[in-house]
Amino acid sequence: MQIATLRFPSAATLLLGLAVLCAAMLALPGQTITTRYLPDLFRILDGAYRVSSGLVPHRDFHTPLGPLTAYIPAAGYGLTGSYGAAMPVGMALLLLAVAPAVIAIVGSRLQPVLALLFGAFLLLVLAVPINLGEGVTSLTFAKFYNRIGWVALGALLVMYLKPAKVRAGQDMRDALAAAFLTLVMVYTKATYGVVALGFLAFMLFDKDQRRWAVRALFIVAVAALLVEVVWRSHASYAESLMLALDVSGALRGSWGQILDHILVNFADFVLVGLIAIWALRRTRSLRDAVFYAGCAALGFLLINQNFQAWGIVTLHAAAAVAAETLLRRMGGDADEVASSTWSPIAGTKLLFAAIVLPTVVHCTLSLGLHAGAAVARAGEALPIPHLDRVRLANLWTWGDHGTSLEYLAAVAEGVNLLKAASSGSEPVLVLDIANPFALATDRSPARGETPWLQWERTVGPSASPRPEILFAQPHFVLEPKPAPGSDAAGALASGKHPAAAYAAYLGAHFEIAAETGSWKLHRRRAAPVQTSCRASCTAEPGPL
Amino acid sequence: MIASRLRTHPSWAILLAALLCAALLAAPGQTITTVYVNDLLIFLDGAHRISVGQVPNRDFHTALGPLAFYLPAAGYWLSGNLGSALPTGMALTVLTLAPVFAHVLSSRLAPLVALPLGLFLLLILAVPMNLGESIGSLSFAMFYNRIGWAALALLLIMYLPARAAGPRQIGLDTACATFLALVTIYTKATYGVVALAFLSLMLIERRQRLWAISALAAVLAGALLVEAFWQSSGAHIEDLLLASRVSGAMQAEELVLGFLRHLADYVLFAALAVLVLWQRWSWRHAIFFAFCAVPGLLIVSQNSQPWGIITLQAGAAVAAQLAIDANQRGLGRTSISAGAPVVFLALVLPTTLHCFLALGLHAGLAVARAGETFGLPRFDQIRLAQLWTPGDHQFSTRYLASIREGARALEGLPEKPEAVAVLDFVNPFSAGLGLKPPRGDSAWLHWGRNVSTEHHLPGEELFGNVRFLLEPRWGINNLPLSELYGPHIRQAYEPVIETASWTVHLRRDATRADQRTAGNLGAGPGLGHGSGNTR
Repeated sequence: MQIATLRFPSAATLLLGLAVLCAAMLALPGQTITTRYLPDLFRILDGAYRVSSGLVPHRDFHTPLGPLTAYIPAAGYGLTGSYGAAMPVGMALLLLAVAPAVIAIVGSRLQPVLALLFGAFLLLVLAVPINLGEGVTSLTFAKFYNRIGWVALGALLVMYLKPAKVRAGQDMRDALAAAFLTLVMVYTKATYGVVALGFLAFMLFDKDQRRWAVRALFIVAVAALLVEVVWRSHASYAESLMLALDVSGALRGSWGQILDHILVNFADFVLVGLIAIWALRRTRSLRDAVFYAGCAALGFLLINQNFQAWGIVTLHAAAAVAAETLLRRMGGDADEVASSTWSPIAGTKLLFAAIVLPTVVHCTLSLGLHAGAAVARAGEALPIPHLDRVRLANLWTWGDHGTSLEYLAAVAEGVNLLKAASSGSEPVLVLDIANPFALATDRSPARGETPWLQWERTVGPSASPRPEILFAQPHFVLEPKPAPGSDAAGALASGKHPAAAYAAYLGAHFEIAAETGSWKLHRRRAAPVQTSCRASCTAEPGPL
Repeated sequence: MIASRLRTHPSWAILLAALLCAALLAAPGQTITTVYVNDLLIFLDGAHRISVGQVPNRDFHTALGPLAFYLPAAGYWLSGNLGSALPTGMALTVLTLAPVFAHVLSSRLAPLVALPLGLFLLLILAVPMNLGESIGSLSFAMFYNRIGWAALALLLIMYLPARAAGPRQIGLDTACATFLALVTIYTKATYGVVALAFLSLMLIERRQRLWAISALAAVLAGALLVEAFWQSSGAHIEDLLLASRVSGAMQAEELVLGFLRHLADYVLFAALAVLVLWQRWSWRHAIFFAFCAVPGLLIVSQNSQPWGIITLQAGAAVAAQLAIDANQRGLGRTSISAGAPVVFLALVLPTTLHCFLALGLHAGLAVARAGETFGLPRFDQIRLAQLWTPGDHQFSTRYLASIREGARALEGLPEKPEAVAVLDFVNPFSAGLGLKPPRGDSAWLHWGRNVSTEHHLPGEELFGNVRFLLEPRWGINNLPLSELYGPHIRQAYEPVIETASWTVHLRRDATRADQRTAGNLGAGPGLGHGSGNTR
């Protein structure tokens, strides 16, 4: 067992206990509480619905995210049969799967204090149902894949340090942990996977660590081949990624926005810079300098691809490495301890604590708030079929609550519209950011669909999913009608909206069946029945 | 050699840094702003009012202390230029407070804590940016909050007894504490209340009681002396009460959300406080830490400020120093608390650098004459710049355009106007065009903060001395004000000019009153006549 390899079982036991506790806090109440980003939640649950209906991600439907982002909520749903439990239970399962690797890595590389702090930091970031950098009360499972990527990468980067004490089988355990985390990243969000593979390649240049890095790369390659045998969709995954890259670009935003984004994370850059420079003054190692700079630069490139203002976890990993490096150097240095006003050893430990502790407390409060709100059944159950265990709460998040209620009313309206149009199971496509309608009206999900249509994310002026594939199966198409004067209405009018991008194709193959304040429901035009067309049918105006 | 001397004698380093900050502010002689144009105008108007002899709370209403007007006025007086009013005024503030910084910090703290705290507080004071905002959000708006934080934080450091008590220590301590308390009281009252509470709290500490009680007595004497000249303390309190009635009671929700916004600071502050108390339990220390944690939150909930409870950094500095002392004396449990100074550094270093970058950016833009000038003759050295993010640039540009249009309308009048008021947030015309300001009006009208439907001054009083009243069609909070004071305006004024954005009203009895008030203005009744004024 991996736990047995730890030098300090107490830290490992504590972390394992924390992982179990976090998993329990997520899973036991069996409810999802959310205060914002409802469309994202619907998209996640739609993924679970598609998988549980037998569809395979990237073979039958397309998103720029990895297949695990659909399988994780699907596992939660499969175990519980409840969409309200899908995300909490899915994340609890993932937490229990990832925790042993995280604990093995921090336990073998870091001193007990650092291992405990950084391990708790990673586990809580993984468990907390918020988008990193947002308020304690802004509960949401949206963007959960970013947190998975950050945690797996944060743990992996600590392997830059040599193990504190090498035991029998260390290389194999290291290789397994590294390969597992890398695979999680590759199949959750590819941007993280690319950085992880780059890091493993970087480790090949370290002759002391090369052994596990080679094995890890080998395991990743074999695993990917095995996955391909079953999945057969790597090519399609890559195609979706290239499309997303085309649409949104490798570096998003104006230089002013990029500067602001850096400044939001300024305090972390400063503090990690401080501890890294402190460590470099002792090691004078170019390789270390490259590692710290890589953590900062690649971490920023990663967050630039995320919908996330704060939280470059690679910086925290760099701080852990720097702190451990300092402590290892100071260990034999008796002079250092005998300063009259302060001690560098205690200073290093406390500086690292100062870097991670605020986030540890923040995430603990949020996770506790979610569990408490779930147990207390806070907020209102969503008035959407099958989603009665998803609750929208207003935790002093007034602005978000108003937006969510409006969106929810529109979705309820769309559900009724669809039910009135047909009680069958014909597939429906939504020209919007999420499709909660297939799940809510028990329709069979369409194959070939992209259930996440968002301007400059998955659809853009430079590239878009091909309409012949996107519209191949759906019988109905729901087109949102933005409120007059809203940003979305402006985007639609200027052609910067999925509905505008596909307007021509839609008009040619679908006709409006019904319309409400929030939606236009399009129905597929009856196919021209050419073989049996008699004289009478030519008199009718045919579809153009 | 010099570097090591500065490290061991933080006083010199702090004085040097204060000189540098003051030079960065004042030397370019320009005000650059990227946000909150309207807030800036309050203090340009205030400097102008003081320069023509008006007295805060006697000649115009304000819930801010008189120093918030005298400081820009001093900058204006020294430089003769409104563009220098705030930079020079703040440079003066920095230089005036610098000796107090040097005395308090070097007498209480080890250089390891004194230097980072000194630089942090100096930059908080000097930076032309509302705390918690981006480096690109340059503005002198809310400068009084930063003065309040810096003064209060220094005062809190005096919780620590002087490290080596010399013969002049009590006298210097009393002088510093008195000065800091008076600065907070006459800058913004919320800080003043907390400062006085802190001085009272120090009475329970035997070793420090002497300077605390002398300071309280000196503050009282100072306040009496001020009142002898100012004669408006009563009127100031009336204005404060009006503002507090308008703003309403504090809500628990605001406090909780305010606490959560500062969670990271609270965590680090609490970590240091717990280290110290775990090392050696002390009720006095525990009460002091609570005093840093709670009133600071109450103050920030009254400020328009996204981040920055600076009493936490002050409390953290005290905790770090207590940990150092305990370690040096080998008292209690020492091992991990020997790292306390590093945690303190982690707490203040990012903000120090952030503020330094913003201060440097302001100086650079000022030297480069970036952006466009406001467009009124006497605002020719005040510039609106757009940096990397738009912020409220579009709004500011439109706001300035409307002000220029109003100025043209006033210049089109047959006579040079005087006693001009604006029925919106602030009046840019008196200062911008060099007009004689009215008396009895308010320095600014902020809907929901110092004026509301339920609580407001009657139009007869607010505009009693106003000859030209400009009513905008678009502005910051003109609509509710037009609704509130519309009946009075229709009754007492008649429109004389209409432009696209403004209606210029002239007082109906203006021609008749001219002869009467011309002789009266000098000895006019002003504001401070009794409690019936504010409703």
